[in-house]
Amino acid sequence: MKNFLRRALWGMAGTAFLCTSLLAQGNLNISGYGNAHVMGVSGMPETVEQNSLRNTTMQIREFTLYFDFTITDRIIASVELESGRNAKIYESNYAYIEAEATDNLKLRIGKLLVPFLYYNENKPNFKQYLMSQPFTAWNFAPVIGAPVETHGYGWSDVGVMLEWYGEMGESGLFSIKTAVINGISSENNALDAGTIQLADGAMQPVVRNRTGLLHNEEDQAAIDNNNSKAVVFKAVYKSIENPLEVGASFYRGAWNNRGDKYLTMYGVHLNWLGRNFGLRSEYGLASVQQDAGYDPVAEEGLTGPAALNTTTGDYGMKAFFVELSFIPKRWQGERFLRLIGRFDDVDTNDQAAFTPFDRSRFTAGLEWQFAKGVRARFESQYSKIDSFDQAPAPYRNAGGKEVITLSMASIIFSF
Amino acid sequence: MQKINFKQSPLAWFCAVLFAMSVFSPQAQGLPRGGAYVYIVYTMKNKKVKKTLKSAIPSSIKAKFYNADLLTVADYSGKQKAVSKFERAQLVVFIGDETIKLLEGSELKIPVLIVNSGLQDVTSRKVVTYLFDSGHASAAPSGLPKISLASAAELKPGTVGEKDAVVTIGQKDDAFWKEVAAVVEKLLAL
Repeated sequence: MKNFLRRALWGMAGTAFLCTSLLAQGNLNISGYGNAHVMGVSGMPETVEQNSLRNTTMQIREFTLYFDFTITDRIIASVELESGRNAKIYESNYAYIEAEATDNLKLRIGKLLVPFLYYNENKPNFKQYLMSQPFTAWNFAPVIGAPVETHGYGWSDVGVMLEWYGEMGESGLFSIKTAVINGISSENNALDAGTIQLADGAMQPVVRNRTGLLHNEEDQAAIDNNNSKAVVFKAVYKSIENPLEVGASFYRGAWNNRGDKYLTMYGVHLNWLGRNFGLRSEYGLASVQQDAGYDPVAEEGLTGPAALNTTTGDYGMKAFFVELSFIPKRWQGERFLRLIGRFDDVDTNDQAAFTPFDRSRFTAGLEWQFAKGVRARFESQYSKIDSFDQAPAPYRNAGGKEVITLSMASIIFSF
Repeated sequence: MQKINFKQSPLAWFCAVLFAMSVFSPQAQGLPRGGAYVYIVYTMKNKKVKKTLKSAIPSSIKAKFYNADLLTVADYSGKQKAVSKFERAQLVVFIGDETIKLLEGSELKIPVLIVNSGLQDVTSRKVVTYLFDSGHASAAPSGLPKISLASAAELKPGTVGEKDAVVTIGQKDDAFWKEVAAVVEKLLAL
């Protein structure tokens, strides 16, 4: 214990000294952002686990530091250190080295942000207008699992990525990113194997709630579970004459241990981000190869409804969102008020009789930037489960409702 | 005192590598900063201007160009990395309003030259020195600590320090770009 403390103190002192030295030389640049919020939910079923989301919760979701170290003019090492579990832990969201072959061609190696759809590469809350993430970035692409997951925000993976930019005269530019990464995986024979234990006052069954890919980023171990690497491709066109951006994304990779079952995803996004008016939208489709007749709950010796928990074979997922925003008032300096409305929809398994994540949702929000880099936000959600008539009795008995509401007040800052 | 065991301590290796980088980096040895002496930041709308400025700057000055529009399609790590790169230069030249807007919220710790912009965005700079012809005198924002000069020749040592800015405003003709190039040359020499 004494040795550990001594080592920790020397490590901290040494790192502080070197960081100060590098900062003074201008080689190291540090910036960051963070947020804290209070949140209340109703309509969710009560679960046996502590984090049932039925309690009003105060959370620090992200308190992030960026470190950018310029090794040479064309080689940069970048790390994003992000807090998790209410700032109890810090872990890297990305950590890579980037080399510019030419002004238009870059190679990135390390733990990368996965270039799929728009949200993941723009996930910091000061870049977004709502604190809550759309279904495309929650159940579909595993970007931010909050509040269910309390760390590891951002979909990142280890691999290599090539970025190419091309100019189209003076009217616009193209960006093409191609990456090879370890990919989304599951140690289980079901890709979507997450479970909850319902506190229904009776049998307390363990149920696969089919959250989509929400837990799969968490499942990515340090070592890939198969030899098959995933391929990701994203192409974006950005107009220079107006604030239009359109893009298409593709992902394909084997997810099971044998490496013979594939997850294939397609995504498109369209944005119009003007000074006062903003439109953001994403649409994603996924096709999952999976064996039928496998019950991961029973395999672990737990009790649950086999009809709900057993895999149905190949299935599909889809999610989309449309978000509109408007700034009616700007004050001198950097202060403004923004109104936000978002509609999104998700279905995490088109073969399942019931999943609470076959739902649509409307979110209304208000954002006030009251000082440079500091914003207060309030948002309120109304979600409706589409196939609630199929919900099993334990789900209803545990307090699960057709309509789920959520309210959240947040403070966001960047520096 | 306990000896550091390099064989068993990744932390020791990490600190040693950082220390070596700190000691042997060009800055620590008093060498010129980075590979590029001047970064010229442009947008695609003023791509032609970029070429004009390039030809006006003496070949003895190493210039590197950065298309700020690339930040609009980069991920959220793009802006910090751009700032990191710019800070290795001795001077950053921003052409037009859009380039400054794209770097909103970031503060460079080196002097900047802003070409043809009278925006309030330059308030992050400690002292702003304006160079403009009589026809553009009203383009400078009011209420800022500023110095107005008529030509690059009037720039004196000590006029422009770290976190300061020089703003040149004028008609975009050959004479103007020669004046901008002269300011670049002068700022590097100061």
